[in-house]
Amino acid sequence: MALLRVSLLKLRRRPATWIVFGILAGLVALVFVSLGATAGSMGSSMSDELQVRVLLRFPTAYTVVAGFVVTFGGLLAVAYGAAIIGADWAWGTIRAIVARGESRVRYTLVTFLAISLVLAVGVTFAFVVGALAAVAAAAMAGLDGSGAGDPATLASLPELLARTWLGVTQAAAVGFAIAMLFKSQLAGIGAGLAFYFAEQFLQLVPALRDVLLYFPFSVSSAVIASRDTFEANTSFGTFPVLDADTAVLWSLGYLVVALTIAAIAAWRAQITQ
Amino acid sequence: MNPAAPSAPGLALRTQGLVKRYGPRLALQGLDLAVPGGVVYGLLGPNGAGKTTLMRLLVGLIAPDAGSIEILGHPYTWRRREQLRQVGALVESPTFYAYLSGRDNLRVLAASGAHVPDTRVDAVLELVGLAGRARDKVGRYSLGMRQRLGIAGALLSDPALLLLDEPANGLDPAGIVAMRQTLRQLTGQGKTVVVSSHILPEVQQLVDVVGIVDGGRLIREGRLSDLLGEGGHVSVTVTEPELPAAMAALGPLGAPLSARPAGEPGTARIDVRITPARAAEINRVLALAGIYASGIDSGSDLESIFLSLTARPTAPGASPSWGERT
Repeated sequence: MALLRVSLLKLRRRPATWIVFGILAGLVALVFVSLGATAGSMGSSMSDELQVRVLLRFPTAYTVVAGFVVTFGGLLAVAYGAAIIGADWAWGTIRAIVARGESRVRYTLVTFLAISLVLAVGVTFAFVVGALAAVAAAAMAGLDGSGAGDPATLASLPELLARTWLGVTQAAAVGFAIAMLFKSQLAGIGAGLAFYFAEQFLQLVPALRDVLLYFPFSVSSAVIASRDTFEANTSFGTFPVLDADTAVLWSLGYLVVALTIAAIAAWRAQITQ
Repeated sequence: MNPAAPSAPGLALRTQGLVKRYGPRLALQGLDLAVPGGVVYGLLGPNGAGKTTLMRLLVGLIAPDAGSIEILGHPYTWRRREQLRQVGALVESPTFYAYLSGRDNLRVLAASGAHVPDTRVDAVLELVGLAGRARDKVGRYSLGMRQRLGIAGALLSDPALLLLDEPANGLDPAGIVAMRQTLRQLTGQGKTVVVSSHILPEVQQLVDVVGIVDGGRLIREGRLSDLLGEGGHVSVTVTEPELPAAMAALGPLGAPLSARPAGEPGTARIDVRITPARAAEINRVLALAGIYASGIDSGSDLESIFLSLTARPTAPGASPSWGERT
């Protein structure tokens, strides 16, 4: 418990934590303000405007907010997870911890537990900011935002938030494991982001799409997809998407695998930094 | 590993046949070390001798390829590191979270490994003279203050065995004196301190027992007083052309000889590892060989003993050697 307490203290005091939260909330808010402005502008085509109005209508808007939080949050979380554990190697602080007889595996897992708890706060914060921005955007578009406070909708938000948190945390676990394997902050962030973008760009190859939907970042985005949506239509073609409940199982699987890899890497590591 | 080796009574730390390889390079080649309890033990050696590798092995940062370690009378392995809860260590340079205060950094350490009461954090900060700056971020600390904090971290769990790698690094003279007094107090309480250092005059003032490591092996171990009593050197300065004849004349003395360039161009210095009381005899031997030394000096200190034990032969006329490490 003491180790978890100080792990949370480290994250709370670390400027990167608040920078990541700020960027995430800012990006989500910016998207909704842009959507509101687009919906209200005269230059938009009728079909685009209709599509935007659908996105800004509650309760759909909550799912859209969660979608942006998990997408942007996943990208930021890969770097954040890698930065936190990678810094222990880059700064040599893991040396002092291990030299005190602390279990490497316990330290690794407790550090990630602290990261996941902090991400829960960040995801909630970004979601609240996004939801407020969605209400403002709906008003800008001349839509009625009263559905935002519907009791049935509000009752579904904890599950939506939990799924969003799982998606973001799973992405953080991937960055965390990569940084632990490389014993490097820079390599962890670099390789984590490269993995993320490689997965996104490979989606442009139609032949790979049926395989890529099981890849970590596709899975993490799919955890909050609408349960009856199994594909997304875009100008690049049709992208198959896992149904949300299956994605949750895959996401949990990736989380366990990533943490197992990180724990084994920590257990075996020769600390010469 | 040889966990079945019998434990040695009275030893705080013992290594037997410790081997560590980094790729093709052997950092430790069967190191045998015996550190008695209740003393300050000075671990000395030139760069690359294997001191830091040994420290890393002792605190479980790396795993040995062979050999055994016994800490406080109990076998210790990389995988079973509970023993470390009775050990405090400062290995290499102190490392901290720069964005946390000194006090919070110690709280982070206190939460790992051995249980440490909250009051202990403030007590060690007081001990190393950082109580007044405990709330400042470590990023604003000077090198010496970080070193003090590192020593405070090593003392956190009131360890029975303290391992300090270059503890005087960056400390001001008052800090060095205070550190010396603190370590003396600890040994007075029956605790054992192992200090690895390059600052030999400082080590000479601090340690009771010395272990000199070179090339990954222990080449000398003993009480400092014994070492100083039997050690010593006589250095003779001759011209370079006289060097071969001087070496030949001094050979029959049976003392280890080494030559190196002297300060003046065209001169060489011969170091004879011999008691300073025989300086006159050396002068006489050289004179009988027709060689008149332009300078003779002698002494008995840890530095000269260390240099004579770890010196690499140097060709006369070569530039001053930094002692190539492998």
